[in-house]
Amino acid sequence: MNNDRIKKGIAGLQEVQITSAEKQAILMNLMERIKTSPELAPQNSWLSNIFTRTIWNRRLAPAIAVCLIFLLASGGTLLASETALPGDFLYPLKINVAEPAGDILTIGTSAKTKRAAEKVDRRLNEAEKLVSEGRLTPTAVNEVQKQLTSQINKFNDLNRQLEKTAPLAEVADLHSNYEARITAHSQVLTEVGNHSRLAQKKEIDLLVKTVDEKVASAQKDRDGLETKLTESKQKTNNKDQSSFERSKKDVTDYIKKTQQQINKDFDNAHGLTKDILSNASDTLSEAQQNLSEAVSKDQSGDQTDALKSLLSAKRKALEADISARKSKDFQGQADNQNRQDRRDNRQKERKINNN
Amino acid sequence: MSTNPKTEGFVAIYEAKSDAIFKYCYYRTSNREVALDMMQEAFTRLWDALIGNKEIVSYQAFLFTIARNLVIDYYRKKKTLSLDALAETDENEYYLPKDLSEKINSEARYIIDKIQELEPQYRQVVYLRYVEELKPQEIAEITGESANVISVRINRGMEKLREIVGDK
Repeated sequence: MNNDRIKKGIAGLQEVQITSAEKQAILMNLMERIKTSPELAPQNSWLSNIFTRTIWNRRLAPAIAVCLIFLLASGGTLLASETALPGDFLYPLKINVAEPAGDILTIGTSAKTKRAAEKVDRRLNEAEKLVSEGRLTPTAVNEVQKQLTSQINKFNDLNRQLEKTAPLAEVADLHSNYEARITAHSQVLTEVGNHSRLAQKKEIDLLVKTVDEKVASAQKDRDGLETKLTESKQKTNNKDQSSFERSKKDVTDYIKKTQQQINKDFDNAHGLTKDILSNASDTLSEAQQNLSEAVSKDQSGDQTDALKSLLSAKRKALEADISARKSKDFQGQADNQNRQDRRDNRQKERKINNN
Repeated sequence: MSTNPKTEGFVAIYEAKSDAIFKYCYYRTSNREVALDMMQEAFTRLWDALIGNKEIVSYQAFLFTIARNLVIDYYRKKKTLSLDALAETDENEYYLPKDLSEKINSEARYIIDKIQELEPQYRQVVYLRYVEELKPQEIAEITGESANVISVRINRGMEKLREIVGDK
């Protein structure tokens, strides 16, 4: 088939590459130029020392290139962009190069959907990191909103695509996981906003509003998915009891483990961290309640409602777990606030004593 | 090792995009050494833009734009040097590099000939879309036209390529 011939031809054209030796030789030439750029040159870099001490030309490339290939192949530079936040120089690199490179390596719609959900989580983690570092400017909020919306749209597209090929239970599970994550972030950000004084308050509120809209939309999508799931279960009269029992046990263990972790962290927490943990604990109680409902509905033979309750329990347990983990990120901020409060109180006391 | 973030970013872009820029220049000049020089020049200009804090929306589009301009300059210089070259070379053409012809499969050799048979306005967009897998928006940034125009051109170009290949 000729169309096939076009595809094969294009694939053949794509195979042509620069050799590793040529690639490294040119990179070294470029590094020589970089070295002469004031302020921006690598400082005390062993790499630059090699370049400056070597009379470099393309013929020498293979010898040094072999060493460099190994180092560059480790992807150290791209890893450096991993920690970049909106507004950082390396952030466009993270979004436009590092992450798409990872996307290419992700095979299958299910894996791609999961990755898209993780990237939504990443965008929200970045936003929270900006808040904890006091760097959430109006420009950063715009960037976060833009990236978040784009990533959520990608997730929704993939999830819809997945619906056509994968079992509905798997689609619902992936969606539930995604919803748990964004809901947890919404709760954490709301709490952070409540604790914020004037600085960043407006920006955090804007961010919370955006995330809440996404949560509402996710809840709506979940309702649709659960209805479809229920209908399909009724149609097939599917009574997969062993699968239900397995999930029930997993959720029970998960709730227990998360509760232990929250209790442990709660003793050392204060201020904002304590409030986030307290919310997580409430969410976990809801998860426990949903689990009990799932058990009683299952015993009364209401399989579809039992499954719905079990999914809710799982989602809320995950939500609580994420919130609890996130609380640690704000420990530093809580400590600072605590110190500031103590200073304020001491000043007040002094003033009263002087009067 | 303490390295400047700009340097690290630059090296990462180099790692990710150098093959594509080289390939683009190689297919358009049919000369490996010239293509390597052009690729180096494209990245040198990227570095200059980075230290000049120039706003770059897409690094990929930026690099291809420079590479495209370098190819145009190369052919302009060639034309002024030789009148014969005027008849032989065209900045819109894609050539199968002679020293490579034995190393790629016959299908690739065949398809580059067919791309060359396309009208000039379709050659570049078809190449950039299907061989380099650039998005229409990125191609639009390179050519300075709208993304809609590019999308239409990609579809028509591909249709024409299928006609030439005999798929229609």
